Amino acid sequence: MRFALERSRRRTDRLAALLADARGGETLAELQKLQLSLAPPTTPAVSDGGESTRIGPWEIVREETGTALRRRPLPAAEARFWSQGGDVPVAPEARRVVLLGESMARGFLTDPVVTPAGLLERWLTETAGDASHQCVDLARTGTSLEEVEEIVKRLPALEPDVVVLMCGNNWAHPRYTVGALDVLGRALHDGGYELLRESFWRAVVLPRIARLLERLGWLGESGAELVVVIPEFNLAEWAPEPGFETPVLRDEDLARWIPLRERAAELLAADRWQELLATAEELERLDGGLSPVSSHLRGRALLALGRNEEARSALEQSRDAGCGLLVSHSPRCPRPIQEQLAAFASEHGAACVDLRELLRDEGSRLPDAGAFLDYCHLSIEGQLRATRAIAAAVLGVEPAAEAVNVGGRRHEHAAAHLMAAMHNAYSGQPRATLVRHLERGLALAGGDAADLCRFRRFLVGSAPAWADRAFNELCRLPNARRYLAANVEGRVYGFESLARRALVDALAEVLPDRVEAAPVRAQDLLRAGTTGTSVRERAGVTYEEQRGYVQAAAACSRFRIDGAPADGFDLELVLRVPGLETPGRVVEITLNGKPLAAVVCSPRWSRSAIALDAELLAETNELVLRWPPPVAQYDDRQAADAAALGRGEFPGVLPSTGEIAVLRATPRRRSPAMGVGAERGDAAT
Amino acid sequence: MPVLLNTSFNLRGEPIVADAFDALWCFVRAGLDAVVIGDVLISRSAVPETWRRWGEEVPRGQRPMVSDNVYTFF
Repeated sequence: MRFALERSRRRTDRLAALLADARGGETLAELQKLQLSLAPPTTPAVSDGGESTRIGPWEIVREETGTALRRRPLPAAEARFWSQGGDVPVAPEARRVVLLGESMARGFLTDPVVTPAGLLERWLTETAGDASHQCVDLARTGTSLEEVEEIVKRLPALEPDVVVLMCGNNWAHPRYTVGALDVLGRALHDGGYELLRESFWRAVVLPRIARLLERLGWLGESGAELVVVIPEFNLAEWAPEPGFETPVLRDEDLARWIPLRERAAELLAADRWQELLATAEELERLDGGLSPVSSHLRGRALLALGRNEEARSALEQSRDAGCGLLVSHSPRCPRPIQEQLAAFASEHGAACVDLRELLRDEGSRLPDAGAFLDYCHLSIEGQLRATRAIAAAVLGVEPAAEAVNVGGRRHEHAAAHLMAAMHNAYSGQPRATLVRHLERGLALAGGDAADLCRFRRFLVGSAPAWADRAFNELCRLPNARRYLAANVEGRVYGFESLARRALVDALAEVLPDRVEAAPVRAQDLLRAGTTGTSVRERAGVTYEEQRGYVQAAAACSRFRIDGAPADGFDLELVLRVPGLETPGRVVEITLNGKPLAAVVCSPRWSRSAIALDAELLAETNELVLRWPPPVAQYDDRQAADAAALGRGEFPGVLPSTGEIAVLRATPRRRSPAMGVGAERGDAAT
Repeated sequence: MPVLLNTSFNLRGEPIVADAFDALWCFVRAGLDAVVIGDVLISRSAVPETWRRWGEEVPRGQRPMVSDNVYTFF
């Protein structure tokens, strides 16, 4: 017996050794896919839904005179994604209007104080009479394409007279099956990242949208009127998120792209528009249109040169560039989805409310930034414009009223912009955008800065959110509470990563006479940046590999150190440059524009310590790490990413100029650091 | 029967508490009678209502972000 066990152990050890590398992973994945292809058909990803009596937090209840919805208890963490409305009674005399949607239709940051469904019902009843329409609010924050399809399947039981589809912003983040990832892996292997993106649309997303729309079409054929809302993106204001500038490019292209992108930033800062335009066009030639940054820079230059229609097209291209590359990006409705929605409305005779037209500023040809709170969510002004147009589509005539009572108190309206500043900061948006929202919030609050001050007290405080008095005071506002509740633990989605410093700076600009000096603390510079993750990641789905380090993808990595302690800081770094074969290459480090050190780097992690003496420091300091030119990496990255997709995992996609495991500034207490030292990385200067 | 049970200070699926804030947050959500941190004794009755409400709202124990794949050969 013992001998048999020993023999099987040797076999399993041998098998483990054979399967331990990428080839082994690929073999296992193929065996599993073979098993899947031979297995009898199982339940489809989306169930038929016919038997279910539930839609979200409601139970569908059949009564004598019609169908009602009865609210059922849900855990608070799920309930806050849905309407707070209670039971929906039978209303035989009223036309039942069902609103389907995601966070835009939920009224992200204004919900539950102001919601599109609530506004729509007001527009309708103002025009057609108090009991003429009943709006059923089925919008859910973060809902996916597949979840919308589930709801559409159950809609006949609700007997809707009108269905308003206000969706599309989450559809570029579909639910991936192993089969879909396999298709994408093969596309990446055969045709690089260009074909990966093309396959994402052709083979994964558009067929699923077609399936949903087909089902919606059946609903229309059975008598429900359909209204399709085509979402718009905040093209005028939204800047590409810092987490994704370009996918890995072919080696010679990446080697040119990275310094050229840095040059473009200088030209932008100097308002040198013609040169910026030429540089952006060259960047696009190198990246093949896969970078959101190049087309955004081109759009900015074209706008400044007054070529507004071309600028709009470039900014749309920037918006869409990352969709399908399996990188993180904020929700948005790219052109292929917009066009599919418009085509469906046209083919099925559905009313179409096209926010691209409705929110367009005729001068710039871009949507009015005042209609947005962030990338796609509408401000109260934006919601009013959208819901008035939806009401006109439902009624067949323009609503008689020019305005409706929005509801809510001024501090709640103001809080929407406060939360918008936070949400924008979290996605690394420019200070001007944060300031715009803070100023708008202050104006809506009638100049009462009490909540802004609470906000700042919370940001500079050290307690976790749940224990912080200012945080809890802000949460008395229902819409602020809905947003902040997701962050209450201050860990996974912590405020440290919510671009706290960017917000504190913006607040200082809005409330210059109220600034309190923040205490100087030890600072983990890797946590303090913006992360720009998506709603999907908060739900536990992330496209990137799970890493314990930051991967730089630019010529320079920039960090901020706050404060100037009397004895200075000790700076601790752990760096590496994977794939670096040329010896003697250095990472040049500057502080506030002055050379500080040069750390010799290698493919292995190396630790360094640098003294930041008090005379080098100001109240805010910029630390810059300039990486050596990027190493050759395209072939390895492409092969690894294609193999990962084949195993049902997500690819890395991004290039690497260097990696940082530790970057920490600690106020010095007594003895100074030993200058630039290293365990492995020796200082060149 | 009075029992003194010595176990790790955490909720199921969560890491063991690492500092005073972690300990307080775990204490609030676990519904413990009292916690001693340093030379301070905090009883359940002293927990602010806002903390208690958050404790009830936040789900206990997060699922891991990435599940490990387990292969079975037999």
